[in-house]
Amino acid sequence: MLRSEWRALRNTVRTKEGLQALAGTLIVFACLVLVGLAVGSMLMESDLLERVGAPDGSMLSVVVVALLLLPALLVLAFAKVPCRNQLFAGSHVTTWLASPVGSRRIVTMIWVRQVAGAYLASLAIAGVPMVAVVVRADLPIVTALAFLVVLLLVVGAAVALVLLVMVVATRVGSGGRWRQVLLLLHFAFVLALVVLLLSGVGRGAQLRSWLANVQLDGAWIFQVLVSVARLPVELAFGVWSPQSLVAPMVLLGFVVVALGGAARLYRTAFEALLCATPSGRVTQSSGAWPRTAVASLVHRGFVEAWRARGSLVLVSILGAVAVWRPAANPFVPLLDDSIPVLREVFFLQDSWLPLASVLAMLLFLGVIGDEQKQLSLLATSPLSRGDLLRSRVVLVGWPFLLTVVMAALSGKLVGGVGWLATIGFVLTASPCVLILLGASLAVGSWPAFVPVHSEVPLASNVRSVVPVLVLSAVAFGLFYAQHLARKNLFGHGDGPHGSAGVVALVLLAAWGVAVIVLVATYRLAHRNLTTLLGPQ
Amino acid sequence: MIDVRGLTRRFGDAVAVQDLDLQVARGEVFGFLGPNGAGKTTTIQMLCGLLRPSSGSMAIGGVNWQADPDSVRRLFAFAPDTPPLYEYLTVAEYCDFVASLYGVTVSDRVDGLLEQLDLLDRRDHLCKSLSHGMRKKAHLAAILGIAPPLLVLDEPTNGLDPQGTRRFKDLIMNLRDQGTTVFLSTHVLDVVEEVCDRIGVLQKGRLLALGTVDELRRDGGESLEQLFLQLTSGAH
Repeated sequence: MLRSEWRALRNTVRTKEGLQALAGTLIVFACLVLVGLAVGSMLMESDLLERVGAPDGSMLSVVVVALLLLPALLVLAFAKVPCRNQLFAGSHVTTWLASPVGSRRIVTMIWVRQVAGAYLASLAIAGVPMVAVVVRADLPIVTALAFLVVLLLVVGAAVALVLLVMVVATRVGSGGRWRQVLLLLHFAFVLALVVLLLSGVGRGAQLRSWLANVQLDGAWIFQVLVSVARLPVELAFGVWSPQSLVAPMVLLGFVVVALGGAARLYRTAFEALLCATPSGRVTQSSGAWPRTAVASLVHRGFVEAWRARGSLVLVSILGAVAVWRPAANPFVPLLDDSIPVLREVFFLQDSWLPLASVLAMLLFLGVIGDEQKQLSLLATSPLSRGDLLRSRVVLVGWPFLLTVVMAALSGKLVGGVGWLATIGFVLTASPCVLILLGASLAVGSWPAFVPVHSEVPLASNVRSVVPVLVLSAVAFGLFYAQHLARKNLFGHGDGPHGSAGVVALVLLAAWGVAVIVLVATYRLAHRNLTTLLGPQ
Repeated sequence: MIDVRGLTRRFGDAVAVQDLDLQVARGEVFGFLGPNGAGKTTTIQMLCGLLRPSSGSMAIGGVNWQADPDSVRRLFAFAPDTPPLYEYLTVAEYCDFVASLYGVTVSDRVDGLLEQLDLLDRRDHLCKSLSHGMRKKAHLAAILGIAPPLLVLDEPTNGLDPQGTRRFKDLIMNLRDQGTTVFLSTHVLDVVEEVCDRIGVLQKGRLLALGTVDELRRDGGESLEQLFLQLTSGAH
């Protein structure tokens, strides 16, 4: 089986499509490595570490990184990351199961693949920042090794948990009642991860003091390795020019990634990896179906979004738990350690704004990107390209809008930001959202990325990775600019910094540019759809 | 109903379909046969506007594809080999959704459509929970709700059980009686023999034979299978 896997991979890479897919995979890995380097670097420079009681911050940063990235690496390990899909494609597992090969060997093979996938992803996203911090901090070698061991143990524990869930899922099959039990387990597990995350941030100093006691001389060979590793790390740090502001943004991003993707992790584990047949549960059909095409498309999007993304409910529950703070709240002792830190870092330091950009990136679906399997239906129907585009404006736009509203409310209610600053956020963030929406429409409908016609030249990995990367860059740039503008114009709510005239002028210019960009990108998207689906 | 002239499609140096001339009359059930890789799906994709021809012209219902694609799209519905279902809609909702794309309402007819395909008991199940055969039936029910003048079906009996195949044959014959034109590609010669008025055999992108089953039999072997094997092996 290993040989056939290797041959399949080798043959894939030999084709043009395979090379493109590999390129997409490498792009993803490169981005993960860059993000990892940035996280490690920024943690070192950030005053977040001092705020939670670590004098030099270096050791705690390792713990913080490990705890913050734990959910993220789980998500990566089980979500449809291109690299895992490409390297560990599992469609032929059923062929193995039907073969005379012993079932024990097959199960072992599947597990080995899953563990290998989880480790590869975790090392890419968690290992790199760890090494970066260790190298940067000039820690004693054995202490550094101890950190790495901690990392591997944490990752190993996470993988073990996942395997445990897989075992349970395999045992119970796909029966309706057991699926509910597994769903509850899923929620409990994600909740535990979040608690672990918060307590890690709040009590990191204790872990640090424990780890700091490990003081031994290291082996010379490791010193050589550190010296060699230092060069590219330093170079990367120079490129990224770390700032204290950006660190919490990235950390918050990982939190959001973890929350938003955890449900997907389990669904994928149950239904795809374990070949479990989805239950034939009867679902209440929605009432009268809209008659017009736009209303029907929008209705379809909302119905599916509601049914497919149960994690939204989980995020809401967690949000309510975090905000709800009477004495009876069982999480108060834990939150007392963690929430003040998060609040101070994310809100009062003006760093809460990028929440919108992170969410926007995560919620990006493209113009017809999430309907690629239905293109043969949409393209052959008399659906007008304008109707399709209008429906996508709503379906792509509402998460952006919701994000702005939620970010503003959370800043006001949790962060204690003043009304003026909150209004300032909405006024300055909305133009960014309009531009991001337009960019999503144009990039998401770009003909090279949408496989309507079989002559589309790009492999699926490149096709799925490039638009997201482009939009991520656009979103990051936009919201960083927005943050600077808002900070200089509105401050924290204790009165505007600039004169009323200047504020009005800047806002007017921002909105004007946003509307122009939106109109232009809308037309571009319309042209893209016409190219893709034919003229009307 | 279908008028294809000089249709050619190249992929780089490879020619998938070459100089294809084909006419299908209104109310006719036309079977499109050919071995794997003969160019059947490529032809169907061009016919449905999913693939641009390298050269040639196509018209459906007398309307030229290039001249008025929007009108052409109102004249046919397409059932691909892989049904384009929305996973988180129920079967009934999917029928409603597809109908709305064509500006038709089927809410009051959904049960009848599903009953016709023995799918009524799955009415309120999510599409993601359906087997491959049921998914095909669900999409077929959805496009039957539109009642288009032309149905283009790619491997429609793939994944259907014997009862499902029987129902499908009856359904096609009913549609023919109602005046609907059906263009279907399949490998199941039994289906072709029973429901198709005429057949075309494609090999390496070229049309090798065209006519009724009886006409072709007179020129070839005893059974359709023998005829098919004779035609396609002779072209190698």
